[in-house]
Amino acid sequence: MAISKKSLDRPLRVESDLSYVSKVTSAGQLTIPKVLRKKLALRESSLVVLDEVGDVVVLRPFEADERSLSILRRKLKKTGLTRDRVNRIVERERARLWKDTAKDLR
Amino acid sequence: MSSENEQDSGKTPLRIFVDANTFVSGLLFEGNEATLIRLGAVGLCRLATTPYVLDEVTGALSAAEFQLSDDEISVLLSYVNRCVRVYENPSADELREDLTRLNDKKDLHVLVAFKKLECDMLVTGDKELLRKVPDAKRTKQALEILLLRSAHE
Repeated sequence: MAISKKSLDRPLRVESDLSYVSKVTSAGQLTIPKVLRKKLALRESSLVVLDEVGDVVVLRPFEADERSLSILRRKLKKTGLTRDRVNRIVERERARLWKDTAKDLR
Repeated sequence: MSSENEQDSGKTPLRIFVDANTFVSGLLFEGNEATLIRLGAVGLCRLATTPYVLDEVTGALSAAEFQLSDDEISVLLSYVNRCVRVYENPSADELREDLTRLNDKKDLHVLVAFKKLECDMLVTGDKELLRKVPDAKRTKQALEILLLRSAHE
């Protein structure tokens, strides 16, 4: 497929239904195709995460992380663990790590 | 993610050193700690920590009591890594210099790292650190400071 720079002023679907080509502006911005924005529920000011995976960059909505956290928090709630108990677990871990650190300071 | 908000406000965001208990509470419970981590993610403050503190977080999340799988722990840790900037641990010599400042030696790393990184605030739930470090704040106090600051911008 011949792609001119002009034709990339709007994201262009290529090869398959799963790929798009989008042009990066001088400010480093790029347009996410409307169909993907809709699919990912991205609105103006939505945050996205860019993960570098080798030569590939994966873009995903930041809210997805929040959703994962909510699921884990709900799971934790069922175990009946309280904040006090959680703080004691952190203290226990701190004491364990400090044992090793203290050896280096002698 | 943070640079855009930093430019918009025209003011350097506060740099906040975050202790392990704040991270773990923020990950596992909705509340002030979760809000602080979220503010770090969107660039309204700069959260700072060290690999040592993240090791404490990892160790705590791996505790049998939480019943979290390795994948679930990875999700939590990658979330933290996106919200915080991780700096070098203080050296053994730097730790030795302040060895007498705390009764509870296991909190020494946090005190020395906070001092070394010259952060604006230390957010912790530890009583001795809160008493001995002038810029140490509880999460709720830190949020109040951040909100006041953003209201004046």
